[in-house]
Amino acid sequence: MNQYFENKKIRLAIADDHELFRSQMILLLNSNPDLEVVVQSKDGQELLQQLQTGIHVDILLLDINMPGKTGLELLPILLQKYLNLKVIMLSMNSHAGIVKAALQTGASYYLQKDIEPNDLTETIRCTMNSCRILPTIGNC
Amino acid sequence: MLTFFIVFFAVQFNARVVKHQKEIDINKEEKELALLQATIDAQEDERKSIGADLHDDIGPMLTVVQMKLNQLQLAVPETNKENITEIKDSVKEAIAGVRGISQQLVPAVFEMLGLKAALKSELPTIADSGAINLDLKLDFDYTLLSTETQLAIYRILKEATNNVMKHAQSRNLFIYDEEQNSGKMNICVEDDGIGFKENETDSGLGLRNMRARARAMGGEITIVPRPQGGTKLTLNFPSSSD
Repeated sequence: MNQYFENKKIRLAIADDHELFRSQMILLLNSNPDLEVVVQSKDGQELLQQLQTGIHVDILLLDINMPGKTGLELLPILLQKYLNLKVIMLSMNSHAGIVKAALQTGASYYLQKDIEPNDLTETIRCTMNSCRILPTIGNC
Repeated sequence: MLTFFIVFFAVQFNARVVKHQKEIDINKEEKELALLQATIDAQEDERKSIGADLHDDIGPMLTVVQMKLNQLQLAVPETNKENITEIKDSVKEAIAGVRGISQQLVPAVFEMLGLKAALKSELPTIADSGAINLDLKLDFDYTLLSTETQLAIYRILKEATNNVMKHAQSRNLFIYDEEQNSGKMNICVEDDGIGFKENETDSGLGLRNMRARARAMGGEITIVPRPQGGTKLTLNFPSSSD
C-alpha cells in the first residue's frame, strides 16, 4: 500500500454538501497511513476560501451537486488557479454527458460515490502518480 | 331614412358583438394556455423536488450505510463477512435504483449542459438500447428560447424517441430541425418502422403529454405516415420566446 509514497502523505481536500457523507469519507481516507484530509468544505465558496489561505493540497475530491457553484462550474476555475491540483469528481450522478464534460474540462477521474473503498484509495494513489488504472473504476 | 339608420345601427351592434365574442374567445384561449403551462410547471417542480430529495438525501444516506457496512465487515469474524456482503449488495442495488429514478425525474445533463448537449448525449443511448441507427442534426440555437420551452422540447423528443424504440420496429431514426418562415421552427422525428393506426396518434398518456407540452409552448405536434414507410412526427413551435 505504501509503495508510492513512503515518507509523504497525499494531502487531500474534500468538497461535498452532505455532512454525514463527508465525515464518513474523511474517516475512511484518514484510516490510510499514506492519505490525509487537510481541507473539507460544504460548498465551492468555502473551498475557495480555504485554498486561498495557501494550504497545500495534492488532490481534491469534488462533488458535482453543491449549493452555489456546481462542481462542473468550479472545476475550470480551480484548475486554472492551482496548476498542480488534481481533481477527482465524486457524484451520485453517472450520466455519460456529465462525465465526459468533467473529464474534457480536466478532471483526472469521475467516480460514483458508492465506489468500493479500495478502488477509491487506489484511484487517489494512481492520480498522484499519474498512472492509468482500469476503466471500470469510472474513468471514461 | 329611418330604416337606413336602424339597419346601420343593427350592423354596427352586430359587429361589436362579434368583436367582443372574439376577444372573449382569445381571453379564454390565453387562460387555457396559461393554465396548461401552470400545470406543466407544477409537474416539473414536483419532479425536481422529489428528484432532488432522492439525489441529495436518500442517495448519500444509502452510500453512508454502505461505507459503515464496509467498516463493519473489517471488524467482524470471517463467518459473518458473507452476510454483510449480501447486505452491501442490496444497498448497492438500492443506490442504483435511487440514481435511476432521480435521473428520470431531474434531467441533470439538461440542467448542467443545456438542451443540445443533453439530447446529443441521451438520444443515442436510447436508440442504442433498441439497436436503432440514429441520425441527429440540430442546427438551431436553442439558447434563444426560454428554459421552460427548452425543457418541453427535451421531454417531447425523449418521449418520441422512446416511442419509436418501443413500438416502431424501425432500423433508422432521423431527428432534425428546420427553420420555417414567419418565426416558426420544426423539429422532425422520422422513423422507417411499421407506421401507426389512425387512432393511435391521439391515444396514450405519453402522446397526450407531448401534445399538451407542445401546446403550452405555443406549438403543435403533427404525426403523419411517411411515403416511403414509417412515421414522421413534427413539432412546430415559435422560434423565439418573445
